[in-house]
Amino acid sequence: MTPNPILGALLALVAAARFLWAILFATGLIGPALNGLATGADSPPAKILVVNSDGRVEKYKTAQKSFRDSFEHPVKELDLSGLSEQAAVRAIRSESPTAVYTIGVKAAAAAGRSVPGKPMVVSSVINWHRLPSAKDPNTHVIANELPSAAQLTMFRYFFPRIRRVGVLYSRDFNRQWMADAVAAGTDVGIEVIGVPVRTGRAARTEAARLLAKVDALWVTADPVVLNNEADVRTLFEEAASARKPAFTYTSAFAVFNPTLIVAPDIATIGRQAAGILKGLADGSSKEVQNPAGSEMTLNLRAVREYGLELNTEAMDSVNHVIR
Amino acid sequence: MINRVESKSEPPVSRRVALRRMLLGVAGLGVGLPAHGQVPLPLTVFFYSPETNVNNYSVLKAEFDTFLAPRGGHQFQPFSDRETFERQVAAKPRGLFLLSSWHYKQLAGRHPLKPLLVGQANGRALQRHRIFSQSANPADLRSQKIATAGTRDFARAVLQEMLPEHPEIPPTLDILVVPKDIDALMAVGFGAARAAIAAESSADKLARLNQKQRDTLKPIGKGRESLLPVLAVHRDMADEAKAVARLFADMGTSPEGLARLKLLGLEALHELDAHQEEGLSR
Repeated sequence: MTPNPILGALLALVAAARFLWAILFATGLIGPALNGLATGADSPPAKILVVNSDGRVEKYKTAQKSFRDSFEHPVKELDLSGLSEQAAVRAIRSESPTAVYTIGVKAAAAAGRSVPGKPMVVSSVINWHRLPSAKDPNTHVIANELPSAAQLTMFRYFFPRIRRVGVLYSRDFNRQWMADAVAAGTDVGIEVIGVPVRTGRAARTEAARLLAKVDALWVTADPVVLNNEADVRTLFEEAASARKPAFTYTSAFAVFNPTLIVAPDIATIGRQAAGILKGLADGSSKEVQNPAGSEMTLNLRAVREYGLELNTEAMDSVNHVIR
Repeated sequence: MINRVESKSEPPVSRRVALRRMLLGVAGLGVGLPAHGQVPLPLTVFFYSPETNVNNYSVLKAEFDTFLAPRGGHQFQPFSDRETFERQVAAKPRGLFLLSSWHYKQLAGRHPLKPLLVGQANGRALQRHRIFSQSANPADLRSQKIATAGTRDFARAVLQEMLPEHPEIPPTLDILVVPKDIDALMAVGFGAARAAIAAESSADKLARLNQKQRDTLKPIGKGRESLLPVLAVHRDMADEAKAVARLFADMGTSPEGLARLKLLGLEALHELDAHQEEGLSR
């Protein structure tokens, strides 16, 4: 078969164009021009920077590793432990990232200052709404707690006889959260009784009164109620004195022997962050996601002591057992 | 023969085992013991499941070891990584394998495995996975995020099976791996995914807990029924593994055994009938 010279020339031209494109992309001359991120299903974003507030913190390490494993493209990683705020800002800026994944509040705050407007995914930040960059349309967030409805569903799963759960909260921070929790409780057959407080001291005073009216105390993420460690400890001690179970949202409180902890699974958060960044390449809009995975800690000693009816079917969901 | 050691002092089984090992060493025998009339050597039960993203390895290890150790010094070894588990299977260790039936079928083609027991939950040895989506139209799934408690390999395999009329969709899906079926289902309701792959029984469970959440999910794809996890062994280890298999078969009948099985979402393990065994060989 005789080769067609015109077709041959066209193929050579296409090959040359593809080669030129590859050179430009590899040198970073094209990537940043594509609205900050490369496009196409197989193209990685040009330069992704993962910023860890403190690489010594186990849950931060877990999120970072999970992100790295899930993202499937090379990333640059930066550990801010030991760096001052200014040094952290400079370190991030010097990397000139195309997009950033920040783990912890220090990383989120520093990245917000050093590369404002760049696509950013934020995780592991308590009260992320308070971040200056939270309103930026390019800042995407994975919340730090499971939705109240998910937590209540799990309470119901483990303890089917729990009917009334008490919550201490501040109206300034959690008025809407409380309204949502009350509505979510209705969906799972649990009455959520909220008592607003203005100070941590007031929360400690109200706890005993509230515990007299409910089957369990639900210690939620409220900066007024959880003002300091002594406040937190007192709440759990009040519940223990009343021989009522205490439920909570973070494994950081495991030292206070709650009956059930329904916490987000950190590895899943890392995978969600990777998914959001991959989605940005396809032009996805701002996202605020709830954590999609749960990590459960069950205190069997408390279950026995308080004579709680435990749904043994739920044991397939337990990650940690306190005996 | 099952050894039950109740004493908190040094278990007599361990001394016998140590003596036997010493004698075997002296005799230059590096092989397993005959099963009849002998005290079996401790074995390890290796566990891995691509259908559930088990993130409670420390609990599984501690609870099963506590159960198995006084009953013959056996051990439980869960794995989070498929390749590492499969290397164990290939290495023919002194032990048994607790694995999903889906994974068993793949491995049985490469290794001479024999299924001994099959798990049971809610009175059944079978389960079925489905896609639960916000939209009733499978075409709407294209390029969407789908949550699953299984591995990506498992998810892709069941997606291909469940959407035979849309072979172009599974490769476009963004798979989010979560720890549990119920997480996958709730991820849809809470906006972290557009759809979920989960067992029908998990959706039924969600309906009992939170009907409103369940109502947001539309089942749109249906996989074939498959067996729950199986306990298997290399064929040439079958005799030696009988004692451990007996232990697992009895677990559902004692409160402490049942408590451990519940950690795996099971209520019992039974011998397979001929139909089930044939299904695993297909």
